[in-house]
Amino acid sequence: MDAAPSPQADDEAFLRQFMLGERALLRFILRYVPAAADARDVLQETLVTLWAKRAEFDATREFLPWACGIARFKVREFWRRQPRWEAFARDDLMDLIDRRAHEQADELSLRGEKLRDCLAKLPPAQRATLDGYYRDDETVESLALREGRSPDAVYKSLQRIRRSLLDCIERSLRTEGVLPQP
Amino acid sequence: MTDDDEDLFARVCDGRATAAELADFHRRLRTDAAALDAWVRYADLHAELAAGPALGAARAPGERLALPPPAAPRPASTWRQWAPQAAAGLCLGLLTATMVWAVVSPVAPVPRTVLAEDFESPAAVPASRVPLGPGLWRGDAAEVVGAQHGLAPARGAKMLRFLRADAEVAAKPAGGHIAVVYRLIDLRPYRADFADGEGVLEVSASFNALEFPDAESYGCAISLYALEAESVPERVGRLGSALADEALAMARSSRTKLDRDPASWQRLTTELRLPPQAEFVAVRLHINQSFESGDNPVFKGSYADDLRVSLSRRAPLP
Repeated sequence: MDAAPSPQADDEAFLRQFMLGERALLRFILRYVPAAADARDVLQETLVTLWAKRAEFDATREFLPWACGIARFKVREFWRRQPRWEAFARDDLMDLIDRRAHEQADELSLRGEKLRDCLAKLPPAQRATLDGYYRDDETVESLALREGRSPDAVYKSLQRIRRSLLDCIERSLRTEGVLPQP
Repeated sequence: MTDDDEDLFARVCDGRATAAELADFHRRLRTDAAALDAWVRYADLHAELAAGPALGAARAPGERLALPPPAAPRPASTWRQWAPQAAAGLCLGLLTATMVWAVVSPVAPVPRTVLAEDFESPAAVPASRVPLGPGLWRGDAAEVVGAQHGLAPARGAKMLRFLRADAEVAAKPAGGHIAVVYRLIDLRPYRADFADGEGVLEVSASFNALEFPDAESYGCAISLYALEAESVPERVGRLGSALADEALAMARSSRTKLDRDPASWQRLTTELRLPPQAEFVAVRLHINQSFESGDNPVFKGSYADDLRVSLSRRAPLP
């Protein structure tokens, strides 16, 4: 007769799902809490709750939808306790964004694929700024110091880089006929 | 996407949007289908850059699946390193949720979780008025309790219950009493994050009260005092006025009236832009009862829980 899995084995199995889902959860949260600093706070709240509720997780179901359900509660909590975001908690905006994201899911997936090619085309200086800000969590002030520019100039640069990435992605999707020609 | 949309989206993503801009952002998403579509695409790009695989090439495939060894030394953390460390600690039963938060803080740039206090430890009890020092709760008589009289903690299994108004009895308002507790926080390890005057300390806490008679009312508030080391008072006792005199900067939340429903916690948040020379911050949690209850006022059912202190570079509330 097989032995029942030990609680430690259950925890380790859960932990694997937990680790695999972390980045996907952050991507999900950023849609509603765009500032990375805030989103990471919400992610941490979500991960702590997920861990606390691990005994409730049904291993026969997908982990990410369950985790995103908890993240949605945490996003709403964040909105409610931040006066500047309170309006977002008062209506169905999250559902509205969800629906649009769901309707665009195929296109968004293609955009993610094109993003890698477009990143490879960025000039080295722009790539370094992007890596510092997004990958290495450098503050804009730190980047400004390192690059010998003002923080405002770095913010503008980030905005231009995002614009150029969006343009690159959309050019690529138009070339492939996914998006109509302008 | 219009240029206006793009400017707004960029400010929202970079955490620079003002309250008015966030209100405009909310309105546009609600009323303009094209803006909503543009946001979904823009946010998706932002999220891919922040958390997707596109910029994550430095991490070997599958590395995130590896369970950390139980005795692995705690690395200098960035937020991305939090989960394996915390999870390992959780598996081993070595870390409490509060400690998990603490792991985030040592060297991560911003935001930093400076303190997460759930009052789970009996050491959280403000036992006396002296000494006032980092890591200690001081102030009026209080105790750490579990759920009681139908009121459950806002987070975890314990919460702080205010018992009496002692320390500031001489400064009590007319027709009422104030019970306060203080926590002094050493900001010196974080000074690099606000040396340019752009650091913002955000403090939030939950307050609640047992059901009380119509003749009574209770309020709560959070005050923050940024201090130089030499200005930190050695003892509690009319500390509120002493701190207000000595503080480099201070902030106080609007006093919130507590409702009569023990099931609902009031959440207060206060922000303080830190002066570059600040070395400590004193956090003051305050419950007031606006009715007389004698010279030795007793607080029958007033509670605080779930204190969060974080340091960021976001713009303060307007």
